[in-house]
Amino acid sequence: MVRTRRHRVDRSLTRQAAVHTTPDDPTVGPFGGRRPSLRVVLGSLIALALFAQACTGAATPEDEGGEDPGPGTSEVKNPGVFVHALGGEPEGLDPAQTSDGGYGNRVIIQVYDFLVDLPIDSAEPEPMLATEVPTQENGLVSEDGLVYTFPIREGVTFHDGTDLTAEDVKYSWDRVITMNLPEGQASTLTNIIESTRVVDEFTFEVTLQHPASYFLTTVAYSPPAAVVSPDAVEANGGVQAGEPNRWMNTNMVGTGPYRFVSWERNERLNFEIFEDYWGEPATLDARWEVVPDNNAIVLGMRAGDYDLLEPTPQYVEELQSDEGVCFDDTGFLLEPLHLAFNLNIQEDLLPDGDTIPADFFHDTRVRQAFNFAFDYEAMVNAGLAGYGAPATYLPPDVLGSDPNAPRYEQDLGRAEELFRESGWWDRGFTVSILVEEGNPTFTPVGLILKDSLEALNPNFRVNVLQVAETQFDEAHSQTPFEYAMWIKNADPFLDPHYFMDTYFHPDGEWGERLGFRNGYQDPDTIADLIDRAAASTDVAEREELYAQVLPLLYEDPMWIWAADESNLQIFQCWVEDFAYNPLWVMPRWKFYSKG
Amino acid sequence: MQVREYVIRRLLKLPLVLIAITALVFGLSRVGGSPIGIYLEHEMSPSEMAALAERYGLDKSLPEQYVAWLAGVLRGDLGWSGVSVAPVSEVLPARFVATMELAIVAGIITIVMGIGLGTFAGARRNRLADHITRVFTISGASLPLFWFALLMVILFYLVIPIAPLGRFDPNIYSQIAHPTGFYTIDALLAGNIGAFFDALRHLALPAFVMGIEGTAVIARMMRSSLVEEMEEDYVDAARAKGLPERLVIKRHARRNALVPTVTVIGLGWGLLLQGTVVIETVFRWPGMGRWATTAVLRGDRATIMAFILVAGVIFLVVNLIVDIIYAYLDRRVVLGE
Repeated sequence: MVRTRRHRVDRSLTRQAAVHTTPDDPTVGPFGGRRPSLRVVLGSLIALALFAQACTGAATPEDEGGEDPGPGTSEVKNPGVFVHALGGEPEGLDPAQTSDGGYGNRVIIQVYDFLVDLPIDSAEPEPMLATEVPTQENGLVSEDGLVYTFPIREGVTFHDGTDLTAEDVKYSWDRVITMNLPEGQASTLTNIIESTRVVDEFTFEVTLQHPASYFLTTVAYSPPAAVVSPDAVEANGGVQAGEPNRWMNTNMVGTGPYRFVSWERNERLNFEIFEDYWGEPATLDARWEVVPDNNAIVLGMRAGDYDLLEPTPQYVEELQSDEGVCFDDTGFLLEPLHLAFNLNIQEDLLPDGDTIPADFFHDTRVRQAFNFAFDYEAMVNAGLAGYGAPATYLPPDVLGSDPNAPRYEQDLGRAEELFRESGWWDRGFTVSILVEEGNPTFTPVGLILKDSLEALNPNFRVNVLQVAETQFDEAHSQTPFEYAMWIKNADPFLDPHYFMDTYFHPDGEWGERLGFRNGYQDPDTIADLIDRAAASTDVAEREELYAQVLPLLYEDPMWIWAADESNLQIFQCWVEDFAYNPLWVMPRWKFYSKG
Repeated sequence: MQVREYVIRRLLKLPLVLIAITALVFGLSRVGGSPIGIYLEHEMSPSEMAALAERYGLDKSLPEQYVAWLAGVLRGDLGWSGVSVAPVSEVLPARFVATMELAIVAGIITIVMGIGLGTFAGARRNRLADHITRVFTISGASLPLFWFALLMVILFYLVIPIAPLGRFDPNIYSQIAHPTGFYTIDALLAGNIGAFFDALRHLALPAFVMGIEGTAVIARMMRSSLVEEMEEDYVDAARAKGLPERLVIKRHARRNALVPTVTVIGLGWGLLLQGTVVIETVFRWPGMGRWATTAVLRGDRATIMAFILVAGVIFLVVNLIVDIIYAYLDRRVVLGE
């Protein structure tokens, strides 16, 4: 704190004669000193600018991948580096601490290898670290479907220079199971695997708890199946039951075509070509730019700073006039948008204002009415800017998916009929739906249902409650769930078993938590069909079983399956031979080059 | 009171003020939701959520959590940043330095331009130069910062690409060591002029935009103060003694005009820190403002508390410095109560 002490100023000097010096002295500069000549100032600025440009240009030779000048030119920017801009970044880099749907998985598939892989143009697994895909025909799967034998590829090197053996594969899988982290997906392995065994230096054997046709696609895809370097792990914290390995969560040592270089938090991840990769090497280094701001990502794309964007239909309108930007919408994401019905409602936990009883969604007619009321066309055209399609219960390209299977279309007459039969037409209701705020695809789902129902009957009220992502995740993890409905997209699963078990089985993850047995007319039949399809190793038999269960799910809906998003990729036209398997969680950088 | 005593007394009070601020924010942090949300993955089970709560100490009562946090601060452990997937103490220094570098350059621009424009206008009262300067300063104080920043990005990043986004070109940045974390200083220490100019290229536009509001405020205050001082009799006396006008302004009027201006400069630091949130977001500057914004939006309490702590220290220290400078400039000012 300061205080001012009054002080008398001597003004006697003020009575002396004035001088002719005028206030606007042309020699007075901005700071009261002598003004430098204009020529000197301009000349200095020009020299500085030229010097700066020269030096900066000299420090960024093109063969080192430096930034190139010039907007709107056809010059390829960032030559030598493939720059992928995404709205988020990994929650972690450790295969033992990430999940299928997270950003971590997207970088894991670039740096780590698995025993088998999904090729660019097929849904059938192909060899990767295993030299053959086990089948009963080649004798690598036992007749009872329980034992899988993987011959391991020789001559494969980890990024730290050590050599791959079967022991390393067992170590990697055992590590995930031992750590068993809440953020991880150890259950992907423990729910299927009975035991693992190293037969010899290059032979790895897995025994399952029960026949599981989805085992190979799990092996192909899920983070816990990634093969890590045991030497790197043991040198940096080892394996502790229930404890994360901080070093492994922020570093990566695998056998993949990219070597991890650095992670600048919330900014970028850098990767370089692994020169000793066992397979076809990548041609460009890679960089993951973290750009959560939509304006910045669009501007960066238009300036040519990014080669590929995370697929978002909302960018299309802003970028479609740019000649240098290309679009590809092959296939659909494996993440159908959906609204959930909670059949385990506890009335005292519902938000204030909700008037529905605990058994509101137990009535099949009510759930059918909601499905008939929803405007699926509006969801695709407005919510997804045309980049999508009305959803089926299994995403397109997944085994068992049937475009001719029954699906709901908006039928307001039928919806009214069902609401009248169930007695809710005159009574009316108010129900809340929980959704992540600011999500450009989730929020429209709720608003469209709100518009649909409230336009149908003014007695119906729908409150779309938008909350922060972290609040949504917390609410989503609680049992009992404190809301009647919520909106999300499904986790991406390659195999139909995971969709069925997670989202439709009466005793599956959501079946238990949301009380599907309170609503299914015949839960045991549905459970039996799903279980038999999971156990069967015959593709045709599985397809037939799923063909039987899909109509049952239509008649007894446990969700509103709102839409399938197109797998829209937005990239610079200078990216050569852009191709992409929609069943991958993200484009794989090793396949791309720049013209 | 002597300056040294005054400084010691203020510094001794600083921890108490910080505890009050941090306790208040810590308590309010639950208003936006549980801090466990940042550590959750989608579709976790209640048991998995409980395991995470135990790992991060979130299963304890709020006062226990605060005491644990305070104890951690004293031993240098600021917790785990969910948005950065790293200990806060590892991420904070780089973020802090990035913001400081931007704020210091913006501050220099603000002070130099503000005082310069204010003196320029004040010495040309009611003439064309004064009016033009007034338009500039009113615009600077009135323009919405977010809008102006985006406009500058579109103009100088997209249309006339002379100002890149971010803090550095990754290829140049990786060529030098970074002992201080200040890119400009590290480049000079490494003798890499290309890196130095890369740093300036990236700094120029965000620092200018960040300082525009403060420049306007300082220029207006400086201009008004100078005009007032130029009316004083001692200025006439100085002229009567035969001093050139530039010396009249430089040695007499400007010094007195700076007194109220310095107070505004001190308060302007608050504006600068506030501006970091917008500027760092728009220009992709990897500083504390953007980090804190993400933390607030995602409920990362560990990061939020670190930001509050650092911002509080900076604000209190800067205001102490301003008080001391104020006393130096105006001999009538007495420090203390």
